[in-house]
Amino acid sequence: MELQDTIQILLISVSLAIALYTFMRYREVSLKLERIIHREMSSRGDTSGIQNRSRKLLEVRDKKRLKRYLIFKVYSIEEIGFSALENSFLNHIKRSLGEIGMVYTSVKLIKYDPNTGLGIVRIVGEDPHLVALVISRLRRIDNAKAIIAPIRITGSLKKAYKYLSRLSKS
Amino acid sequence: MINADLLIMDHSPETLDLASRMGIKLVGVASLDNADRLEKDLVAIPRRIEYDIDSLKPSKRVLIGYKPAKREDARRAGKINNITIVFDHDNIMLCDSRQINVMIGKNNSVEILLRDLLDQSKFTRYLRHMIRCINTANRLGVPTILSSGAKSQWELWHPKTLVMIEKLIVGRRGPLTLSWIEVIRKWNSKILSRYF
Repeated sequence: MELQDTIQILLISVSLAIALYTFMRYREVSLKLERIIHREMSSRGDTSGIQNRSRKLLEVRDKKRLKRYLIFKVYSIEEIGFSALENSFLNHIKRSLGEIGMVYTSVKLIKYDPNTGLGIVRIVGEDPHLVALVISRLRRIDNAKAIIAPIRITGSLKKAYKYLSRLSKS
Repeated sequence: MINADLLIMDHSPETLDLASRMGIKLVGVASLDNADRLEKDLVAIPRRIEYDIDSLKPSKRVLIGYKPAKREDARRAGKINNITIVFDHDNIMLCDSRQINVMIGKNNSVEILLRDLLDQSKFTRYLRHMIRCINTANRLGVPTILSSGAKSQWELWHPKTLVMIEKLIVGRRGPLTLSWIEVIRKWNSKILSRYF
């Protein structure tokens, strides 16, 4: 190896070391700056980075409309069919919450067993308890007197079916 | 958990049978003389609703409910122990923060009838006043109970519906569906020890 090559290698390694040092220094400074900005923001009452991230996640979750499944039981002397119950539900919700409320809640009767009186209703929206109250006010289904009792609200249809089968057995 | 409906007007066998099937264990029946076990797991306690403040006299035998028509009568009743002050659509506007303030520290409670929620023309106004009344009573620590006041079997309310109303208004479990225990214990603690 000649002297010229050795000098070249030395120069390259020195320049690499300088670049690495500069990068590390810059990173250190930027971290320090980030810490100072974070401290300033939290002292002013601004949200921290973690809170920002969680807020963004919640915003994404808000955009996705949450579905809830309400398990209910119908107490009636007369037998009530699926379509009669569905029509009564929709008419009653339309009368109580209005057309806009009906669109937002998107209530749909998923399952109803006339023998046991148990069924599942899907509710979309943030407040399923309000819809449960509205449904439980329904006392007449297709000229038959009845009481509708909301039993439980679940977050998934699988759990609703599981709970429904347990109730049917008992 | 023991469910109760402290005021039903109708005590026909159909109503009591439906109440029992719904899982209600204790009913307060108007026009009953003594506490009794009516069915296998349904206990009834005697209730009486008074409308005149001058004839209002608390009793250990009958749980008295007073339904005020005027504001000054409601205030006077708020200082009487061992009664419930009954509110429905006609007098719910009397249940405000001043009324609840009078009732703090006394052995009486707010009783709200749910029968008027079934009437479409009364629903909006009644629910609005009900929410205000329940939140004020809950904030100031006055026991509040929800009763059906049913005049027929189809006006009964399922205990789970009361839980839904409780979650909707208060946001947590207990203040409305379990406060009947405190009311009964203060009125006549022997009932609880004898039947439950």
